Amino acid sequence: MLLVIGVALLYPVIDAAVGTFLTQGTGQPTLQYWSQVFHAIPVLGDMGVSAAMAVAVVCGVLLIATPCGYALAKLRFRGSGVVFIMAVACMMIPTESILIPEYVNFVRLGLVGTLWGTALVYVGMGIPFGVFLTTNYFRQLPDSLVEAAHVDGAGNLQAFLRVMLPLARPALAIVAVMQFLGVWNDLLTALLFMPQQVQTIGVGLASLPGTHLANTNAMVAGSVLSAVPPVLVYLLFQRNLIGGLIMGADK
Amino acid sequence: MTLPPSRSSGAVTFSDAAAPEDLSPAANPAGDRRRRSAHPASSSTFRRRAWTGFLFALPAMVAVAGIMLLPLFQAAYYSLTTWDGLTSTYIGFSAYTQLFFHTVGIGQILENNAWVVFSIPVGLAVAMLAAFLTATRAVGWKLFRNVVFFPVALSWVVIGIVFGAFLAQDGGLNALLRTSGLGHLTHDWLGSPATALPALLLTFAWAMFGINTVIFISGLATIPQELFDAARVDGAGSLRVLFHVVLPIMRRFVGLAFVVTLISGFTGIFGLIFVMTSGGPGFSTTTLEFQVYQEAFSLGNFGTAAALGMVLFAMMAVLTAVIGVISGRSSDI
Repeated sequence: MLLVIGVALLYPVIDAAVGTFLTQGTGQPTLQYWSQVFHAIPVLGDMGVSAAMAVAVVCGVLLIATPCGYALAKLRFRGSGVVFIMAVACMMIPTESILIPEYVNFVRLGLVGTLWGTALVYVGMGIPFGVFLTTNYFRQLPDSLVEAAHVDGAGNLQAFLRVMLPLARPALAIVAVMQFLGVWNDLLTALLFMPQQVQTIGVGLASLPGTHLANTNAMVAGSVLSAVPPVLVYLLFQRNLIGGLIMGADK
Repeated sequence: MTLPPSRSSGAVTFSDAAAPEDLSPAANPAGDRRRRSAHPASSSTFRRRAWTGFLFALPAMVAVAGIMLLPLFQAAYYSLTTWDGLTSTYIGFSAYTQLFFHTVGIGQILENNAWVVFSIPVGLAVAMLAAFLTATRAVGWKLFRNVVFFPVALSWVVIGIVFGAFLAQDGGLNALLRTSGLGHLTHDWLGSPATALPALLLTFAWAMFGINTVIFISGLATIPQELFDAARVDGAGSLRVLFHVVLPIMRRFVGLAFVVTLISGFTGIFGLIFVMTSGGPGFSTTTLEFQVYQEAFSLGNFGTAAALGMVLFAMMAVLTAVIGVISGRSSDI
């Protein structure tokens, strides 16, 4: 029973992937579809853009969200509870609900069609989840660790950087992996905010039907290749991903 | 506009926070006694801690305010206007009556969103069955558990292209039908209005199956094994165990899976629709989410798009709240 479900689950993917190596109709082995997609769009270049963008966004989110999460958990200030609730509420805002004014604002600022502008949108939209997750994680760490660091003469900043941050590595990994996959797999934001000449792999693939240079099999070939990095990330961090899901769920 | 400063102020925050701390390395005798509020020196420590916390949180607050909250308020305002992206005219709430009564295709679009909701229980039922089989160590459960989650790593664009190929006239599904003697059932699944939405929803269910199964597997793991054993001793069969022991305990996990799937289906599958059908034929696979994009960037109706976005936001808020109450997790998420 389980095996039947498993096979049914994988069959469409395997069937489509195998199809990229076979000539349509005759079924002869061929690499023509793979060369087609490489001629239609700069596959590897686009993947490089996606990777660079994803890494930049991961760094940006960690840099901004982690101190905030720490503050909301351990350095509470007046209104910090409200800030946490706002972060959770912002996680619920659909991208589409804010995208139109966002786009117009960014046009006015000259940030549409720039890499920085795109990264900024991703980072801003990724921060609420980062804050939510790191806050919850830091809350679980005992206050006595911070107190002990203070006894040893560490200030608030050292206590954060030297003692608490290393302990939070699992939470940071979850945020990083989720952000990486989110950016790599996004279409809408990249479609609107990226420069025309520089595209992420998602936009590149989505633009293929318009080029008439690639048929269905070539598009699947490009898709398979583009899925390699996120699948590798997934295989490496499978535990963190499931952990993140459960952590996000169990709170 | 607030954003570039916020990035640099992140760096400033660190050095500012460090400075006063470095000047008073021995300011912690109060910490030794662990009675912060009783001691005057410790209350200043406390205040400084709060101040540092505020500085730590500031960059994130500014970024979210500028990138999420500001556009949300703008969207709320512009939804009450006719707006082409440059000039807007305030027309008040009649914008919403126009939206619901005069927008081309709006009935079909709302119906499609309803179908997304109706399709969720079907997907969840299969995921629950698979999770239950995995938990009861059915044949191949280890392999299955490792494979099932992997669509999580695939983008909607990739899933859309792969399933677009599979469901095409000359695709894998029709080939399968032909070889199994069901050639008369072959069909252009995505090309005809009657089957395009079911095909899209099937693909969506496929993509969400892994997440939901994993949610249910981790939910089942919270049920003590003795409960299963006790039910077995009482002579309950697998299905009875599933319905009378497992499902009641799993209520909040079902709620979670429902919400996760709903959020994806309503606000996350733009890429899937864009690649598979572009919302067509006609409006047959256009959801609210997709129409926001179409109104703004194909038709130039930024005001209508903003209003649709607000409707989507309201729908999400109401639906998640309702599911939260039903599944007994109202205080969460």
